[in-house]
Amino acid sequence: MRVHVLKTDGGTHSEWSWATATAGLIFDIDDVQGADRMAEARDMLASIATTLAGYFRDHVLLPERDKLASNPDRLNDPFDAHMIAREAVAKIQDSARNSKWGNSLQSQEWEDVAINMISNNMNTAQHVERLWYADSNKNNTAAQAYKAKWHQE
Amino acid sequence: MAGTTTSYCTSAKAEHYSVAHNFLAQTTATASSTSSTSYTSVSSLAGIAVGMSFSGTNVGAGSVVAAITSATAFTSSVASTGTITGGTLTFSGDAFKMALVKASPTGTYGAATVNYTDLTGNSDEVSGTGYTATGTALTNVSPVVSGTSAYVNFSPNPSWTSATFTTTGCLIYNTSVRLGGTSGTNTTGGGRCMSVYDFGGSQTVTSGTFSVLMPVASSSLAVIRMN
Repeated sequence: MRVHVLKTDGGTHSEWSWATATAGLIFDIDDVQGADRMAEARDMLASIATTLAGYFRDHVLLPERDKLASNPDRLNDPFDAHMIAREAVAKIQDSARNSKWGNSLQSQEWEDVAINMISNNMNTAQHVERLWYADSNKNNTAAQAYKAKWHQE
Repeated sequence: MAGTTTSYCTSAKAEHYSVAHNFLAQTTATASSTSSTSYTSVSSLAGIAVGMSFSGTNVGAGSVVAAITSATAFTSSVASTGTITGGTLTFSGDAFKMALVKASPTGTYGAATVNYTDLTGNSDEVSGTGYTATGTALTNVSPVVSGTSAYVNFSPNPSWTSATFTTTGCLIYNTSVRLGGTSGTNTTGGGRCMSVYDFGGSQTVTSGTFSVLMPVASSSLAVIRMN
């Protein structure tokens, strides 16, 4: 039942904030024993974060900002993060295939958890972009309605 | 000792047996009605339960599902205001929210917490730029069964932007009133607390973004689950 906090001063979460937080949730290295193995685990964690940063940047943050700038009425458009997350997980599995964690990252259980976690955080990344858009566009009725849907007494 | 302890509220466990919480996600169906409480030719009643509110063109204000009368029909608490022919109806489960606990709270929050008003009664809710009293709305993801466990989750994760505040934990609570009688210090029955989470110390954000990342929806990790 643990929850994790992601906080960024002075603006929105970057793709690296999202990627690092998400990588830590799907590849937990807290219990890794031994200095050598921990070093390898950290390398794997960094590799997963690098892969995810690209997906957060190119498939969530930049497209969302572009779309909001060109058509703010799309604030309530649906977003299928599941497909993007599935693609990101396949890429992570492929790059980890010959590592110590190759087998565990191929398991169906890990794959399901990873896809769910990544897609939920991608949905949240999009949501955060929309909230910031509302904060920056106080005269946009649709944007204010979006914000009020979440933040209203 | 004052503070927050990550816990599934004991009162919420008991309330599950009283059908006091509905975690079903918003869903749509088409149906027909003619200025009455009877709705027929419902395209699907999957994910729709008695007590869920629903809306749509010509649906009476404040309508809730009163009874499911067949595989394709239900009655409403309020009559439709005109003819509905294959109209789209939107059904909603209970409305949950997350409220944040301020730094150095005077109250104690954990398994014994019953209601959101326990937090406000102690003046322990966060106040600050970007935070609205009562917290942020959560979006239900319908309950899922995996093996012998059932779990629920919310998506997207709760987030605050343009935010300047300090917090030490949070409460998830149900704003919908399904169960009469008192709930903690709230005599209307609303605001029943589901769970409490500790953030592991004071968390401060300045003119920025604050998100609470909930665990993934799985039988061993989900934010609210019964094993």
